Amino acid sequence: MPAKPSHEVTQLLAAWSEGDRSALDKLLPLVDRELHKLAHRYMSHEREGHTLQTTALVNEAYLKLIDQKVDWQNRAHFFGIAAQVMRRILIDHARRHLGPKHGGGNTISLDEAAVVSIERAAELVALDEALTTLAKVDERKSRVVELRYFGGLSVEETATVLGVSAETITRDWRRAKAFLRRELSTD
Amino acid sequence: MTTPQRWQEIDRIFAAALEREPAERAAFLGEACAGDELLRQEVESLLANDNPESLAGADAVQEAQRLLKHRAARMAIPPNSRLGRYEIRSQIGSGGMGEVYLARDPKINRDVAIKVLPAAFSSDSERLRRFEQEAQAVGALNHPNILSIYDVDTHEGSPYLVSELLEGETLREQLNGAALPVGKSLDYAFQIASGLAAAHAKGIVHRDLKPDNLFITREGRVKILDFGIAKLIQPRDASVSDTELPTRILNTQPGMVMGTVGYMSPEQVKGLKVDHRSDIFSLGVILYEMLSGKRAFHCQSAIETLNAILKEDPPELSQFNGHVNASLERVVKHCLEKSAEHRFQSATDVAFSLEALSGLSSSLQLATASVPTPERPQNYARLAWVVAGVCLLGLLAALPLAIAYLRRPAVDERVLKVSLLPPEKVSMAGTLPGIALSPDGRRLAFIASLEGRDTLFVRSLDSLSAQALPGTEGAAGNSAPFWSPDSRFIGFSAGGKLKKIDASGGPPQTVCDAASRGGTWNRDGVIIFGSGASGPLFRVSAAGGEPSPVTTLDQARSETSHRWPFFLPDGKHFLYFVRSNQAENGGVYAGSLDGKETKRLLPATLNAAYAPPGFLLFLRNETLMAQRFDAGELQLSGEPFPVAEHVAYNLGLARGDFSVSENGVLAYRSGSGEINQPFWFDREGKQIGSLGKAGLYFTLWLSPDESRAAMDRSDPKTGTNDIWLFDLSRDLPSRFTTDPGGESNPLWSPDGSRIVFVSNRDGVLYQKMASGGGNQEVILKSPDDKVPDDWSADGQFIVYETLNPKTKRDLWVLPVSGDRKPFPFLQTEFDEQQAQFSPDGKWIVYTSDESGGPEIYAQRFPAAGDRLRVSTAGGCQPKWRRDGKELFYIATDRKLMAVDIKMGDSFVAGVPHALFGTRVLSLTDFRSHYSVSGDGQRFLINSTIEEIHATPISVVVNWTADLKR
Repeated sequence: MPAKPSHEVTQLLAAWSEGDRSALDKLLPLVDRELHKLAHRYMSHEREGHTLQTTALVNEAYLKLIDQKVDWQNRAHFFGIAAQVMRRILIDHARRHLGPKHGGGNTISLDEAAVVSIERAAELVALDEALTTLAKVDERKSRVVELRYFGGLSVEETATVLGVSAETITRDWRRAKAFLRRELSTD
Repeated sequence: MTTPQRWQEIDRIFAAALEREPAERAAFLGEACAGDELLRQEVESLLANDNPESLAGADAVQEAQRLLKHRAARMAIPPNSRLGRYEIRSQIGSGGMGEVYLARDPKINRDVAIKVLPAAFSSDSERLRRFEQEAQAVGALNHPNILSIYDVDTHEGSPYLVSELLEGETLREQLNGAALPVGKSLDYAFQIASGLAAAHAKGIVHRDLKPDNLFITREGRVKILDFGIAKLIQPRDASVSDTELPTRILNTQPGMVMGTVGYMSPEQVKGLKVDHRSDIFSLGVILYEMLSGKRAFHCQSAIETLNAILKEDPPELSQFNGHVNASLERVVKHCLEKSAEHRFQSATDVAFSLEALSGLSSSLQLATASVPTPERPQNYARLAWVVAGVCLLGLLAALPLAIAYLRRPAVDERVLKVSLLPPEKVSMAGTLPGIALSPDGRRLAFIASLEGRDTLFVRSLDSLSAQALPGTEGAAGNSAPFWSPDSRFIGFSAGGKLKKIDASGGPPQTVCDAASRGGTWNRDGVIIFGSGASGPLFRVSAAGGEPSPVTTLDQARSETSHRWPFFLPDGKHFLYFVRSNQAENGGVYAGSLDGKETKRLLPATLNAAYAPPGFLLFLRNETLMAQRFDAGELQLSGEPFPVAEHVAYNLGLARGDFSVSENGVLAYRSGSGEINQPFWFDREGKQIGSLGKAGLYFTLWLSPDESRAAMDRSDPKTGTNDIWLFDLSRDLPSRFTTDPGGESNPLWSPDGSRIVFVSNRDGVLYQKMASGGGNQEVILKSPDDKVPDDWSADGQFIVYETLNPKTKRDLWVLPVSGDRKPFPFLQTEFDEQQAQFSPDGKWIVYTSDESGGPEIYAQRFPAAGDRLRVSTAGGCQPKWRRDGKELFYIATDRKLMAVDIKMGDSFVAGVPHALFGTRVLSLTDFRSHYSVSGDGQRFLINSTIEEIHATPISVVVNWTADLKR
């Protein structure tokens, strides 16, 4: 009998935040699977406008995977992982909708859609690209954005994950957004 | 490329510049960059993109949308370039069949979609010419279910199509491998068939109908895309010039998706000549897929799929979907006949059959029950119900006639009346004004209480039952639902938000934050709504957004509320009801979206509606009247004449309980405005007494000595609220306030000598001696709306509610002595209301919706500190037992709950248990509809009168027919 998933994930999380790097390797696929499952469900049911509520999704994964007794620092670390996974799911999803030109597998043909369909897919992909650009020069700011956008983490939680003060996050956040806004408007 | 080192430098100066006031930044940059002009430009561009306002965390997609508002996606045709006369804005889609752009037509200033086909498609000039002709012919169809083509042209050898811009998704996306509800499937199929019928009538065959080129707009309208394109891309073969060669399409055209073969007709597969009946086959395949979630023909390879189309019948639909009945199965099979000769011969026939299946028994119900409203409507209606049910099968033959009858009420038809009972276990009490007919007269929306929860229901007039719409629990009974002009969506109010929902089901969507008193929706997607108990009308886009006022309360005329708007046919003018503290200024008005016109049409205490061909309908006492009305000139003429008797109304809300469609259907509820009465109950819920007589009562408050009760009730003649005192021993009511404005929410002082109340005239809190003598004294005057909630037992404080546009309902405390300077107690972004001091004055219990629904909380007083949630599954209207050891409240299913409480240093609440079910009018209308005796043994509750629960709704078809005689 495998251990109850919530127990297993909680243990791994604790091990990882205490420095066990190998725990992360086991943790990621578990989070990945759960989020994919949830995301799939959301995308097939909450289709209106496709504003996938990433925060809600990550939270749901958290409730499913983690013992609720876990302390809030570990919780933040979990969300930190979830944010990365979430970003990938969203961008994959957006790329798929944009078709082969953007490098996704083309499962849904948009070819006949003389219409605005998943309207913001292109923008989402652009955001992802801008974030990657930012990461090349400033890894931490890019992580701040990822955690806050895709994981829905608060300033304090982001600070915990990155091991800096909340004030630093607030300042990083503001400057990162200016960077992204500039990238996106001048592209 | 910026290096990390360079970026560090930029970022450092950027950060330092942000620390400075904007005015000082230029000087700072000059110094910090020390002549490095590129550095300075970098920082300046970042500063230009700094937006401290948007610092809040947000959802990724929404935030990306905000960030990228002005950004055009990468594209083959760059933004701001031109294609013919069109200005390209951004690319919105791409694929094998071409690129799609969002563009602007400067000539008429409208956004359009442009699809540019690959140049290769136009190498054959003859074929291109035919394609253009056909596209133009389709464009000329102007059918709601066909994508409108505005223009066809060629750009550098690439043909392009200019079409209307739609928002929504393809049927493929909507299906996503799962079945749709039967009702929705039928509706979509009906719309597709209608579009096809129009095209076929012009000799245009689609040839490539599939879920990928059926588009569902946000409003639920189906648009058929790409008529005739299949023909264009098909390689020409002189020997079979007008046939289809699907295998060649498959092999030669890159970008054609293999999946599309599954929707071809057998004659297409065989390469025979195709006609409109090929589209009917494809429609059958699509309908099959909508109903089952499975493709009718789907095998491992395209060749096998093609073979299946030729030889195999798909599995029975009932295997996948228990809701598919035999008739529907037959219709699908009839579309899927292998031989075109054996299929439906026209899309019109398909549409007709589908329509019949969407459950059109009602017209036949109407037809069979075509007798005047009987004297005992309830019993009769029950009978009609059963009769209609039993006869359903036998009467199928009569369907087409009945449908035609309902849809085209001709002037010389008879008036038909029928009574509809609310569904079983559903109560319509307390939700008086909540009925709304769809503009097409085919469906009725109403709010009724299901297991104690107010819920939006829809009943197709041609079906035998009403459906509760999931997700609408908590729909506000004090705001009638309203329909979109295409009869597909219903607007309603719930949880302080204006929402809309697809009448066929689906999740409700929030339009904006606003309580509402009625709404109306025009063809341009503008919703006007009444903003609540007081205030002007607001407008908001049906797609959502920030509401803005569309009328202004005329203070000089003492107007307190504009409500129940109703668009006139031009979609620019509307009717609305004005409440004023000066009765002569109240009534039905006409206004306009541009705010320029305001005209009082008639004095009234209730709302009015417009009905084609030109009538204003309004209530006089209990009689529904109609009067000739020229909607263009906003002019009434002739004399009003009665249309229906004994129509229910609610003077408090100023709403008559009737609704008219655009095609001669009228619905109303019978009854009077007297709907509730105070009744005594014991702890077991046994009714042990009553007070006064039926009326419309709201707040109820026992005096501290329990000899009297104060209530606010609505005057049946004027609709204004006054406070009444009931002498309990003699069951003797006396009016406590008499002034022409409305007074409400009475509150006893702890010693029983005075009563505090609020006047809607000026929002002032007054107090007046309970003996009735003396003048009323102003105790608090401030510009915001207020409601007094409770007076602390030591007489020191009054806790009251205010309504703040930002923080919604808040709790404030007014010290009764001293400087009487109010201070806020709870001011959050949620609604806090119905506050009650604990008997020891150290806690306040109140209702808050912070968890998503109303719940009871206890919070320390005066300094807000420890806090505890008391209710477990929804609760409102808390009331104490006098010793503070028990708290009562009403759960969201209207059950009266009791909780044991221990108060000392901390607040300990036991597990709530239900005492009995109540029939209170409303849960969270900032009032307490009941009172508890000091010993907690008896409850005086304003309860709706039981008979009202089963009030039938009368439906009249062709109500105007009688008028012609």
